[in-house]
Amino acid sequence: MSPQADPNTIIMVTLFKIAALPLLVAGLVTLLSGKWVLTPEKPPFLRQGATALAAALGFSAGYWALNGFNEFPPLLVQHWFPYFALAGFVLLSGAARLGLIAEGIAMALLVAGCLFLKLRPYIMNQWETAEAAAYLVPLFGVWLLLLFVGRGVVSDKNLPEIPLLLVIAMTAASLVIVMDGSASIGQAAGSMAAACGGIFLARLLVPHLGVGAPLRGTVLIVFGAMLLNGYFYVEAGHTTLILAALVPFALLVYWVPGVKDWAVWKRGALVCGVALLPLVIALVILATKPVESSYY
Amino acid sequence: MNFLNRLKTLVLVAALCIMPALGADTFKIDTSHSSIMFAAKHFGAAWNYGRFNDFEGTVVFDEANLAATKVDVKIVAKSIDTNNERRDKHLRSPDFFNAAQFPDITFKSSKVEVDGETMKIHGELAMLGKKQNVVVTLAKSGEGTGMDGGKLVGFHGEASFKRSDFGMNYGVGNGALSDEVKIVISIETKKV
Repeated sequence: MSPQADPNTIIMVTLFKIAALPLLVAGLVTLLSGKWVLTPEKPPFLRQGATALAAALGFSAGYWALNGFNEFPPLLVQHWFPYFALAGFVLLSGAARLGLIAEGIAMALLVAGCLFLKLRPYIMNQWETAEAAAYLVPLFGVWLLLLFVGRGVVSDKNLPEIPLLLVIAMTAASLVIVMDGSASIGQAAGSMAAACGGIFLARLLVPHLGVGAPLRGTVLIVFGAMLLNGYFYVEAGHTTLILAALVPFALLVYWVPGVKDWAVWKRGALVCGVALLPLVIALVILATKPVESSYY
Repeated sequence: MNFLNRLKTLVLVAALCIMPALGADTFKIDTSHSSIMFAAKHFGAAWNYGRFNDFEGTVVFDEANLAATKVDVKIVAKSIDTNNERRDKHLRSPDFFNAAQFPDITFKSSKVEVDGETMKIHGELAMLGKKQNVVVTLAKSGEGTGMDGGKLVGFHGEASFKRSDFGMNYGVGNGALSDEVKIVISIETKKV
């Protein structure tokens, strides 16, 4: 028989796993690597990769603490999440050294691989070829566009507010899934939000570590995979999922002339404000949904 | 032994072999008069029951030879119903039945132990991509004749297993939902 559960203890333990642990791991990896290993004179691609590694490790720590280690290759599609993050770090950090074409190839490989592994049950057992193409081609395009938007508008610039934008994006994915279907998948998304928060905080002390394409790509690969899970496996609401998917497109505000030259706080307030808009709308939709009696 | 005697022996052996099969009839589960229910304990307090609304299967049954009984059932995972749509959605999600990735739950019997009028049906339960041996205690609950004159036989059974054996761990570690799941089945079958 399972041990007697105390709801408060359950909440505290869960919060530790999905918030405190990823934040601590990602923050410490960022801080320690920035202080003692990747000092300012080290090549930029290494300093860019450090935060991507911190995000991947912080998220994986939270995910595995929550779900335990599982068999490899994973039987359940959701257990691919940590491997997507680690693959994102490896491929995008490596590609950052080689330039734009390599980055594009790495992003396309990641998106294609993640799509296949996430949707394999549908591809192998349910979809006809035409139906598969009707889903996969647009998803591939939108996901790749999402990764390229960041690359196009902020390039590899070291904008300190980027981790905050990623926190909002992952929080959006977390909330729309946890409030409308699956607690554990939503909590997993929360782990990545916490990891990005840890990176943001640690970078206040080691600002020379980059928050460019490797970090953005690693987080947005997990972000896309979470939303896919929300749509295809969790039955989360389509409108709120689309609203969550819009959050990272707040990066487009950097295309407004002059914005990149604004003071950090002003720029950060603008991009985070724009990012919060779809999230707030999604939360209003979820909050005003007719509620059945709670079953928890 | 001459040819005629050999032939007689052969016919006798063949007859003995096929006799149980001749006595066994195949019955198809009538879903509209059957229930497959499950229960898990919530915070150590009460057993919460739910059911699956969509399933199909057959029972090969010979009352004179219960050991020859065979059961083959397929349950549609997404048909789960606990009288709370929000909870049903959560149960269909990857936290529990992961119905999009694993649409079917199946049970196929492999061996039957007979104890009086009760059968212990050993079989393989396949769920969430994993297979485990489960024992279902099953007994005939009655028989009758349907509106179309067909023979009906009812069965009632129970089983229990640990859902963590199938990787369904949500709420187990913190004791919010029991690891042990009870199954109660009441099926009406119609002779094919």
